Amino acid sequence: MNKKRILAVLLASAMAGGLLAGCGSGSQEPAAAKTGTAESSGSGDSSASGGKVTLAVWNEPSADEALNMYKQCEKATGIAIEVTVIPESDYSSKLNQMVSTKDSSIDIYVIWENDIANFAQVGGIVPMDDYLAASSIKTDEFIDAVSKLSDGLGGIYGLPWCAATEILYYNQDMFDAAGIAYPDNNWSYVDYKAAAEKLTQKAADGSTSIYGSALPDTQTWWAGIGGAGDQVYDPASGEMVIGDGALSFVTDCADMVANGVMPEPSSDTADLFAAGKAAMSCQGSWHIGTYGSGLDFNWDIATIPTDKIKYNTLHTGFYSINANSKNQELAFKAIEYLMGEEGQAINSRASGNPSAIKSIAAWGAWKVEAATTIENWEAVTDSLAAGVFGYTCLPSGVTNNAVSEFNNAVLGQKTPQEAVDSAARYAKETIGY
Amino acid sequence: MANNQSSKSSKNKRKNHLTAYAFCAPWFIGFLCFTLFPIGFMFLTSLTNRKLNGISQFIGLANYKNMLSSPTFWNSLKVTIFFTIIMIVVTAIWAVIMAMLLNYKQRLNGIFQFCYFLPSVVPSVALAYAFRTIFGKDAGLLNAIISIFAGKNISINWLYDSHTVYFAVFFITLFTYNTGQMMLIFRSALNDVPRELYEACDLDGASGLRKFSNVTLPMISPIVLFNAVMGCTSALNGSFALLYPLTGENGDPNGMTHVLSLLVYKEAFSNMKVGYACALSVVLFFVACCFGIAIFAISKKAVFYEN
Repeated sequence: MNKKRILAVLLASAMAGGLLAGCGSGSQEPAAAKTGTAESSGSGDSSASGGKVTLAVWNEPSADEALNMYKQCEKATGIAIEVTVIPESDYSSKLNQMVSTKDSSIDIYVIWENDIANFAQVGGIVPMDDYLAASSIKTDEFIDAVSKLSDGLGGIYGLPWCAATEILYYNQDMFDAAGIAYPDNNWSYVDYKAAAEKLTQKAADGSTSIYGSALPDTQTWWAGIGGAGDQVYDPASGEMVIGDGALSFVTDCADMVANGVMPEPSSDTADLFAAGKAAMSCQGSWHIGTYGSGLDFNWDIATIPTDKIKYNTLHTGFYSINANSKNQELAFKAIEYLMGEEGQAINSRASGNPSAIKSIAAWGAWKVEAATTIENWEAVTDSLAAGVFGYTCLPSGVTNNAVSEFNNAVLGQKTPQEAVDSAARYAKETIGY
Repeated sequence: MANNQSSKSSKNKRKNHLTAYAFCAPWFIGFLCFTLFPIGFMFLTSLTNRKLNGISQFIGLANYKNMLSSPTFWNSLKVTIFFTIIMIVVTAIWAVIMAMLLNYKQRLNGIFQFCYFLPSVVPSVALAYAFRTIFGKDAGLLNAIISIFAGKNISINWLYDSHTVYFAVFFITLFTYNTGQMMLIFRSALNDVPRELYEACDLDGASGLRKFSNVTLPMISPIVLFNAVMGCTSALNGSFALLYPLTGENGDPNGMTHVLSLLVYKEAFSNMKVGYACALSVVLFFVACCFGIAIFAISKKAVFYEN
């Protein structure tokens, strides 16, 4: 009986000890310097050369070392960057949880537009103004949209790693066969609709074999809605603003789907444009690098056709410094390289996205060499000039819900008016929680 | 002497009790830390406007008031109840049919059982992604097969058409682990039904359907109850793993598959409204309780125990 009791006590103690060890926090005290001052030395900072910082991002760095900006940063500065890749579907929520738990394992967060104000307000990231005062980063050359994003935050909390836009991709071979002139950067929305109808090819049984245009995706629904005149995102109130523009664009898409000009939303994940099943597609500019020379047809790009206004959404990530990082100075030095001419040029070549710094973007390092059929590179620079941070500043649950409602309208499950009203109502009950 | 003996015996009793509690302690500590505490924390958080970044303020029952005035919530609740009931019925019926087929004495029974059970060991998420491809509109395998037999291009939008989505989703539930498990349990229960009862039925000239309804079903009714409870748990908890890859966090098309577990995920991780998501979880908890109470209430009339 005594042996049994001893065994029982030992087991219970082992269990309790294991639980307490597992529940214990591994993080050490956060750095004393949380304001990001250039003069602070913060406990745990390594010397100027050498040392390591950790960085969180949602996409894998390039396997080609020459195009891996983090490896090049290590060579240039001596600061090793350990990259933690978090899947894109969970990226924002994981970062929010890390901020909430004051995690100090990541020194540099590459954060999205809808998180920058959020993290700044809760003190999860530090302002970099003092660092920037002594730095060579050309903050006065940022594109306008980036400068406006920092308004009202009380400082510069993030530096944009690139500026991706949304553009129109078109199949030149199909345009030639249909005898339609190629789109240019002045193409109107009416021209686009007319061309889409002419480019649609039907099979003998009436089903569509080639679509005039792919359906807008999660990103480019907003390009159409903004182009039709809606504000989409109001920076003053943080609200989603859709109305007549959304109604008009959703109605047009529903009509085009009903006529077989666009495909229905479905669970197929195939890229119809790349597969040669759609003559045109509005997508993010980063697909230029994806397509490269791998498509079986000649293709080129143009700006998103202009409806009432020229509109597309900018996409980027912002380098920011974790307020609980023990290596804030080193983190800024790494960011300084990544935002410098060399770092930005490497990022542009690797991703096909222009820099958000105008003078660096002008070099054209973002022009993907493999995309040999592209002549209208101005489509990217024109889109950059017209781009805004719109829907990307809204919670993803709200924008995804809206896209789902638009797809419901396109499928005929509700009217476009019902879809727009439903999307707006859901946004209102969610934002400002 | 007698006093000494009785005090020794009560001391021994106490020692035995303490030993028993000590053996139970590891499980109980785990239960406290990983089950009870999170449930309690969830109830408390549902009274706040906690966001994913940690900001939190007590707001009382505001989350529940907002929920009650939200059409999204009511749609979700309706879909959850509908989905749970149909999933229990569909999977139980299918499991019984499979179990009865496997109960026949035939050659290669083991191989048939293996084949019937094999899809159940595939993780729900992998299963859902595989079927998402199969049910694709233009590039889906099912449409391709139907087109071959029909002799023309068939392009049904299985997962985005309001007329076919439920068929597709409930068809996929037949291949989940829960259904396979039900099948094995039913098979075991069918083996325990006394043969003499069937022989008596044969002597009385009862049809197959009569035998099933008057003999088989009452005899396996305790197992039906058990599987109904397991099916209910699977439908309420496991529906997320199945539906999120299939139809997305918005429960497309038109919210028809927008169960509460999907809404909880969407509110917590896409909209960062952890407080509101906890309030939804509390509702889900009470829905599960109601289902449990309803199943046990029905079982009092419908379950036959031999003793």
